[in-house]
Amino acid sequence: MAVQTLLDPKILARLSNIELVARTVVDGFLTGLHRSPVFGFSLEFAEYRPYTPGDDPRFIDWNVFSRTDRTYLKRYLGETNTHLMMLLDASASMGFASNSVTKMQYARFLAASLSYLSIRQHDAAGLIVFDEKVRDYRPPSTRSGNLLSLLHMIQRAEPATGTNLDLPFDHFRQYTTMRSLVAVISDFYMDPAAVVKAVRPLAYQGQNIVFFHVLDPVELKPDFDRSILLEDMETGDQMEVSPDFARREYRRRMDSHIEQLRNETQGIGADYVLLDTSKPLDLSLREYLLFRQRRR
Amino acid sequence: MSLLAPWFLLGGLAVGLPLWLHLLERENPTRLPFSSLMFFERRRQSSLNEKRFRYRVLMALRIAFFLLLALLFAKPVWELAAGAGVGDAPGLHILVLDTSLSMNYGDRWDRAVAEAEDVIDALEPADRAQILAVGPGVRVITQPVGSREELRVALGTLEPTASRNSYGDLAEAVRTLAPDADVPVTVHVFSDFQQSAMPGRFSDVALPTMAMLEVHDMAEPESPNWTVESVRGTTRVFGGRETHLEAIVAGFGTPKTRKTVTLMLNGKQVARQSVDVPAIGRASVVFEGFDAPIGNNKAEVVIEPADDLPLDDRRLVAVSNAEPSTILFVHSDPRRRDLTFFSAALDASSQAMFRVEGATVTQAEQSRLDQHALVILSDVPRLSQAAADRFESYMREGGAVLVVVGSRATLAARSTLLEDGIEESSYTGREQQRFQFAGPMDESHPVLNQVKSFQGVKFYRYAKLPVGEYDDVLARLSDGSPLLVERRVGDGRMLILASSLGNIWNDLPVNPVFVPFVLETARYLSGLDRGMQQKSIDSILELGGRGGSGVQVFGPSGERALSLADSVAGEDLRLTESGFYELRRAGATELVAVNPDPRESNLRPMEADMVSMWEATGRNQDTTPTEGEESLIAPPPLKLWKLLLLLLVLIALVESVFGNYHLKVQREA
Repeated sequence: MAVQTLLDPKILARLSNIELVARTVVDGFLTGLHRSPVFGFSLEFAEYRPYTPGDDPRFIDWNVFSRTDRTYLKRYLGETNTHLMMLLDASASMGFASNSVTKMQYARFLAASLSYLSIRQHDAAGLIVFDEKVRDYRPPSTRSGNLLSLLHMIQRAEPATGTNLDLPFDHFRQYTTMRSLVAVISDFYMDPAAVVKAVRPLAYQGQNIVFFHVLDPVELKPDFDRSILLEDMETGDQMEVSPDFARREYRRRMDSHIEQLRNETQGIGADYVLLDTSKPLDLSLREYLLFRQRRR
Repeated sequence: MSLLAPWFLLGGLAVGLPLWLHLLERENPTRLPFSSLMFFERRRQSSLNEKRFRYRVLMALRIAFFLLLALLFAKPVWELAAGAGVGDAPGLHILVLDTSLSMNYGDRWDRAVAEAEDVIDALEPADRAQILAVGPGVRVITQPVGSREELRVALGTLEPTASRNSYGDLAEAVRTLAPDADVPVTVHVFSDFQQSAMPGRFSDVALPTMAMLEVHDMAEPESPNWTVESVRGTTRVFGGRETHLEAIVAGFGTPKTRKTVTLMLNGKQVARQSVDVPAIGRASVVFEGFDAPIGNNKAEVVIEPADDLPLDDRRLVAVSNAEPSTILFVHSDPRRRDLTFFSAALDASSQAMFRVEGATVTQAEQSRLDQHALVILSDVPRLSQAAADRFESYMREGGAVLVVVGSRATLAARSTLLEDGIEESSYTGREQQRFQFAGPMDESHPVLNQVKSFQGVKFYRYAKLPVGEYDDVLARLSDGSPLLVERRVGDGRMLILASSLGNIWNDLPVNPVFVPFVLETARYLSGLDRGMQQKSIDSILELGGRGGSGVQVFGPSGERALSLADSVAGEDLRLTESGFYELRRAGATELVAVNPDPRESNLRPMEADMVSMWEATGRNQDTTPTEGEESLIAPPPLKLWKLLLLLLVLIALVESVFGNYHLKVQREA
């Protein structure tokens, strides 16, 4: 089975087990690559750092402990940024779909795939599920049961209410001090300036941020053949729109919003990836990998 | 504007369809949950109005389409105002020339042609004209044309005839031609307007409302005319018996005068007399005792001096002088008195048309039947098959047989020529004075027309005659039994009498009615029941009936008047010429005299009031628009369907373009 077919969201949607989805996506993606990227732990010693609760005890240098009675972890090259923190938008708007795959499903596939890839490469992965408030939180960890816990959290995430990006970022700042890779997965129906404002403190912290902008093809290019009454999935507002407006003005505005969001986020050193839910997931993974390489 | 079929306007209710579609379309948009309305705006008024306007235009086009379609089916017409478009509109002029006999009077015909030419010269450049001739019938000489030269040439081909005309035929022709014209029609009639040419019902001469009658009266104030109105008399003589002809000379609009009346026979003068004809009256001239050669003779009665209408100053009549015809009387017993009684009755007739030849059955079987005018089988028993076949063949070729049923005929199981046989005879007995009288009879039949009634005749015995499906029962007895039956056999005929002629079964032979009965029966069966035929021009000569097959007809000029095929078929012939027509049948030749219709000789014109009434049936002459006057003439209504149809097609095209534009915009999006 071709890699592209495996990564087709419509096919992935038929898989009931998200772990299976994650494995299918990641393994299939990696199989298609010519060389296996090496991330995470390398064999080249970089430095010692004090042990903190939650660290993997396997990397405690016992020789140092025997000589100093202090626990230190050996740190290797490529281990500097081992935390992946995913911020998953579970607002109502993420429930929109024009085909068989909702944005929420696509976001789940992405989060699960990133989690699996991260854990597989010995990066700690964590998750914040949010809408108007933080609904669920799991700090990054490399423990063996972490992946399953993450996948379960991801599976439970369902579109609910409105969107508030400030809260998850505050929560993240509050509970995470280490430098991490922050993957924000959302449809970003908010002012780009507001997004940047919420994210900027993290950027100042030295966090590496990548924005995964998930949109449905109809949201990118709506095509109505007649006047239509739209109902906002978060606010419940209704509005009659003309097909002419949808074809012309709306697209212009959406393109402008995307461009602005891209510029604003890149302005603070973050990365921006626009994802079409009708396209296979390898694009998003490829972006992630490139980001990782540049960071090294 | 008015509507010829207003009920079709109900179809305009179909405009509800575009109204429903467009209104539903506007008021019920599709609902769709969407992730965010962040980048949408409500439909602005300007774009909404623009789109509404475009859809409204489409809706209006569709509504207009349905309304126009309903109006088209309702057949609207535009009633033009009186006088609108009449004054300067091109017209159609129908020139009708009367070519009947009366137009030969004096210089009427020349004056009619001259006036017709004047009318042609006075036509407007845009006018069209058509020439008709009336008498005989109505003949279309030209179609409506604008060429004056063509009209003059056609006019020059016309000549007056010896026929009669009818203004009823003329009016019918105009009614047929005029409705097709969409312009004013003027009917110019060049005639002497004879009263005798008017039909019995005045409504038959009514003209269509769009036609105006222009009277061109060729009659003179005084037009006296004398004519040989009729010639009657003995036109069939037998064996040199005395001839007798009576001619009636009539004067119409004439003073008292003295005329010389000449009888010509076969082109030679045989008698001449003078007679005083009273003013506007009639006089009778009798010619008798003149010698008519054996055979058919062409007689002609001529009055002199001639007047201004010489064609009716003579009258033709055919006179036939022939040997008496033989009747073959076949009887079974010479001692019987049936032959005696029959011969005596024929001899009692002053005409001596027949000679009776008695014969036994054996003699009759060897005789040439076609040499006899009639064969009588009186109480003859069964014939041999060969004899029966001969008699039947004789009848089928036009011969006639009288079968008289008596005692011998009823004894045979199969009677002579009666395939069904005689069932029985009925005996009422004379001892007790019990007898039958004659009952209902067909007095219109030539045999019984002179007999009138068998009153007083007693029938003691009679046979029960078999009556076939196509037999005619001419007379019955008082108990309803058939007494006299006629049966057609091929071209011939057979009469069957249910009681004998021997004064035994009945006392008919000693009754005065016996003589006319025998004579009329003989005349009818032999075909000599009528005189030589006299016909009028344009009448029909019937050639069917006895001996109708194989008749050859030669006209007055000696040329064949019927084709060979028509001769065999016995088709009827229209007599178009004045003169003697010769009819040649197998074994006989007959002359038919054809004369002009005597009604044409009465030149009395129509009353002025009647002419005015005739003019009033069409477009009134008085309402012809004159300068400065408001016209009351209503031209034909203007039909609007062509204009509506054009509009309908235009709307359909525009609607298609509009609809396609909307569809194209949606596809591109």
